[in-house]
Amino acid sequence: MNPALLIPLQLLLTCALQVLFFQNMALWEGYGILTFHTLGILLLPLNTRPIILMLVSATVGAVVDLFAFGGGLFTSSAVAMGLFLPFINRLLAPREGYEVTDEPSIKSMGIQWFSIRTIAALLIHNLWMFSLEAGRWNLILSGWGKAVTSTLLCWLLFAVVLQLVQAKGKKR
Amino acid sequence: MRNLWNFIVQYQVILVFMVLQALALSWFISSRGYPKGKWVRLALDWESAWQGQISEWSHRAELSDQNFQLLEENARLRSRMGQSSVSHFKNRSQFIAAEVIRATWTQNQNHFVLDQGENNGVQIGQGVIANGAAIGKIIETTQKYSIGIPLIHNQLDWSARIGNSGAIGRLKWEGGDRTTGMLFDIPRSAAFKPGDSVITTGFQGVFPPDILFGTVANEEPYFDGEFLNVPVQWAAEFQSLRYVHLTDTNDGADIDSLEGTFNHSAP
Repeated sequence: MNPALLIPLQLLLTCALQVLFFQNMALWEGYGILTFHTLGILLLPLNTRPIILMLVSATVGAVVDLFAFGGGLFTSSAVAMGLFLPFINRLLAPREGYEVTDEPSIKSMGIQWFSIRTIAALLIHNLWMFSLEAGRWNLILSGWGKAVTSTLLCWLLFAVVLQLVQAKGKKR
Repeated sequence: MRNLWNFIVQYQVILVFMVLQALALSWFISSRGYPKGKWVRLALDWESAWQGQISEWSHRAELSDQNFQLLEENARLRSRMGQSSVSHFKNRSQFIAAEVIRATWTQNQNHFVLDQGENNGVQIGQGVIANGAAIGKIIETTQKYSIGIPLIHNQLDWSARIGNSGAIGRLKWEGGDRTTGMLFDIPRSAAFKPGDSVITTGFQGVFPPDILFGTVANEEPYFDGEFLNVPVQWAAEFQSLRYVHLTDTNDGADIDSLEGTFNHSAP
C-alpha cells in the first residue's frame, strides 16, 4: 500500500482500537494498562522529523484523551515519548546508519532491535503517564511499578500483533 | 533579533516539546481528573453509543431484562419509601435506575459512564448508589448518557458521619487500596468502634442523609493534631458494579447557590 495512505491508516486504526477496546482493559489490578495507540507512533517512518513526530504524537494522544476522558494525560505522555524516540532511534542505529527502505518493524529490523526500541519508548511513555496520574508522592512508586509491567505487556502485544499482520521477511 | 532566531532554530525541538507539554499539562491540571465540558459531552455521546452496543451484545438478553425490571421496581420502591418518610430530604428524593456501561476502577482518578441521561431525568450533581451503598456522583450528562466520578477518585471529598448521631468528618480516598477510604477531622473525643456505619450527612446535596458509605475499618485510627483520621471500609464493590440508582435530593443546586451567596457576602 502507498505509504502516504498507510501511515494515517495505521494511526487511525491504532487510535480506534485503543478507544474502542484497549482503554477498557485494566489487567492485574491496574498493573496491566494497554496503550495500543503508541504502536501507531512507533510505526512512523524512521526518518520522520522530530517536530513532526511530536506533533503527530500530540494529536494521537489528544484523540485518545478526548475519548478516554484522560484530560491531557495521554497527550502529555505521547509528546514525551515523541521527544525521546529520535534519540532512541539514533542509539540503536546500525553502524552504517538506517537504509531508506528500513521500517521500524520486526520484519525489517529484527526482534531484538524492535524489542529494545519499543520497551525504551514505552517505558518513557508509561513512566511519564503513571507519575502524572499518581498525583501524590506516596503513589509514585506503585505508579512506576505499573509503568514497568504495562510496558512489558504492551511490548508483548505489539510483537504478537506485528508478527500476525506483517508477512515474514529477511531480517537484518 | 537574529540571535533570537538562531536560538529558536537551534532549540526548535525542545521549544516545540515545551509548548506541547504546556498545552497538555494545562489541560490535565484544569480538568483535575474531572472530565467536563462540551468536548466531553460529545465524546460521551459517540463512544457510549458504541459501549452501549458492546454491553448489549455481551448480555444474556433475558437475564438482563429481568434484572432491569427488578432494578426499576427497586427504584420505585425506594422513591415510595422516601415519600413516606418524615425526613425533609427523603420527602423529595427520587430514584432512577441505570446501568454502568463503562468504567475505570484501577486508576487514581476513576470515572464511570451510565446508560441514562437527561432524557431520563439525570442531572449533574445527582448521587449514585448501588444496593443501598453510595457510589459517586454525576458530573456531566448528555441526552442519553451520563458520566460520574466514584468515591475512589482522589480529588473528591465527601461529607460523612459515623453512625446516626456520631461525629461528622471529611471522607476521602487517597489512592492505592480501592477497598478503603479515610475519614478525616474526627474529634479525638468521638466514640466509635470497628464495624460502625459511616453514612452520608446530606449536607452536600448529592445524597440524601443516611446512605451507607461503608464501615469503620478494623485498623487503628491515625492521630492528626486535635483530630483523628479513621480508615473506612467501602460498602460498595466497585469492580463488580453493574446496576445502580441515581438519587435526586433536589437540594444540590440550592445548597450550591446558598454557599455562593454566603461566599459573596462574606467580608
